[in-house]
Amino acid sequence: MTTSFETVDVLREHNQRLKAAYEKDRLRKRLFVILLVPVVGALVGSAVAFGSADISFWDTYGVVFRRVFQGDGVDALGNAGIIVWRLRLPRVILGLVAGVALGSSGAVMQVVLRNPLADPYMLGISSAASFGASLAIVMGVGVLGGSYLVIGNAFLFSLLSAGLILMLSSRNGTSPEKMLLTGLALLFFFQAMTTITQYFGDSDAVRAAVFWAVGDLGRANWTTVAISAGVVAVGTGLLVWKSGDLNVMNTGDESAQSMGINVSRTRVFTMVVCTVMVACIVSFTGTIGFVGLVAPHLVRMIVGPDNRILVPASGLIGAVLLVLADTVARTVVSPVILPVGAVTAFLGVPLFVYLIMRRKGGLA
Amino acid sequence: MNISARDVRFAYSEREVLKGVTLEVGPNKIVCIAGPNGSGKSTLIKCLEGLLLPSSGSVFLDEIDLASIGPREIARRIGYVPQSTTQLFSMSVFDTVLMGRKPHYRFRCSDRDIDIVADVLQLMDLGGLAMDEFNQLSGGQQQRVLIARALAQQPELLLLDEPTSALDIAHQLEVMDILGELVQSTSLGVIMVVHDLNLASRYADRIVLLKDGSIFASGAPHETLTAENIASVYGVEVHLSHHDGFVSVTPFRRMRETSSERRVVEA
Repeated sequence: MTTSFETVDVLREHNQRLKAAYEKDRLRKRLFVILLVPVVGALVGSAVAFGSADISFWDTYGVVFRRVFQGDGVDALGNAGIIVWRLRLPRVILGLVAGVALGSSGAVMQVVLRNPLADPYMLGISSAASFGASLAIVMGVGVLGGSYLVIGNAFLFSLLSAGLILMLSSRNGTSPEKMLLTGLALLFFFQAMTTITQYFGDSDAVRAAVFWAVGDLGRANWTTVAISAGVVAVGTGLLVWKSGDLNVMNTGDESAQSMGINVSRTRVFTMVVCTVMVACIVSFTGTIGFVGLVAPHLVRMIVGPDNRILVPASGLIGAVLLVLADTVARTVVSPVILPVGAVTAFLGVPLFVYLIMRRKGGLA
Repeated sequence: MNISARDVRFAYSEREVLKGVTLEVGPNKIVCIAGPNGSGKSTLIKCLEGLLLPSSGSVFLDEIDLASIGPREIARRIGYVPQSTTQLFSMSVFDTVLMGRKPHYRFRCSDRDIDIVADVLQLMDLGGLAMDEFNQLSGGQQQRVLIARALAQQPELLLLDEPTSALDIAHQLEVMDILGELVQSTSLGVIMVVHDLNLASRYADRIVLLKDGSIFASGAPHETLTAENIASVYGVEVHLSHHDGFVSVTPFRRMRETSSERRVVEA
């Protein structure tokens, strides 16, 4: 388009400046994610040292050190050993894993369902899990001792709900609106079923079922940590892998298809990954709300909507929020441990509202 | 690359919008599609892009049936500029244009992709907006970003759906000049929907007039843009004049009833 040599030079200089500005911006965003990793590490590390039992910092890390590096058995480590190794550490790590799962899948759900209000429970996962658990706990479909039956029930019912939604909404072409509305419908359906189940149950069982539904990390042990960590590692990896495609889907279905994305396949694939991941977490922890909604928005306010950054960063911020909230839940009215599902909202809501108020214009 | 639509029909549920359109466009040509609202212009473009599957008939890229290849393959060869898009979460202009490179790389973009985007941004007069958020731009600026994204795609064929509707006259001419130059210097073919008949007359090698889902007339601007054709297609009486060898259309009066008389000019 240019004819004279001066204009070519000017253009080249502009180009260099443009590229430099873009690279700088990209570096800043990457740095944010990279710096989050040690923050999460430090947080998890220090969260272990807090709790209602009076164990000093040194004793806490002594236990971890002796268990990990010297291979001492837990029983040889005494009371502190049991508390730190059997109770606190799995609890904190499950918090980390659940935070990553909720944060990253929340980010993905919002883009895939084209709705800034979407969260990981949008496909009726939490209410279906609650119903499954209530069925096991209240109707006594084998509750005693078999804590895995409750978990299994919760997991199966949440998969059932999500599967039903994907199946129903894919008739005559999937659309995000259809998915959202079927999801909402099933949510009410399962809530009603839970209410009816609990209506006929005896009060202790109902109490147990209600407590089950409120998110809590207290049921963590090394087996649940290992299972969920495996599932979440694979799941988050898959979501990050698809995050470039999600960027394009952010501009609309037609636009994304014209950029070469198989939109419906990507939508179903990412939903299935999110569902399996979140169903797994929900069955171990119950419904921990808010993290999956807030973490992605917090990250977007800081580094913008690029999903290649957003998905991993939301996972890490989700972990920060959840581990922090759980530490508060364990210590604030110690020795009573509050359910973390309630505390996340207590801590997160003021922060979130403040950030929304401060921001000019829309959220999106 | 040649693209050809062969007797393409398309219906949204009951209503048939395209009633057998046959059209062939080769490289180095700008073809403008014009016609009244609801005549099937956008639907035709979407069928050519593979966004909509014709209910009968097919679209061929050279001799490959469009329905037999995936969106990624299509995206490498055909660029598409929609009328507008809304981004759920607003991205930067640079990132939006970089999406155009998506069909060409697997996992991460290369330095060359970034170079191409920087070049295109300069070309489209968007250098100063590169780091701005897409959703906060004006309609015309957004339109230029979408055109830039399609240019970054470096397709063999470019489909544009009213790409200049929100542009000021300076940018209208600039965009058309850029397209014209690309069509001359590369083997790009362009098919665009336009409402501005004067713009079409000035830049098109061929104008296709659509009416009620069929091609009413197709040919060089001076052949298609006749007072009779425009009266039949739009129901508008116009004055035609000639400037620098181009037909210039001045709408004059809306006619009460539209003539159903067909005048087809051979291309």
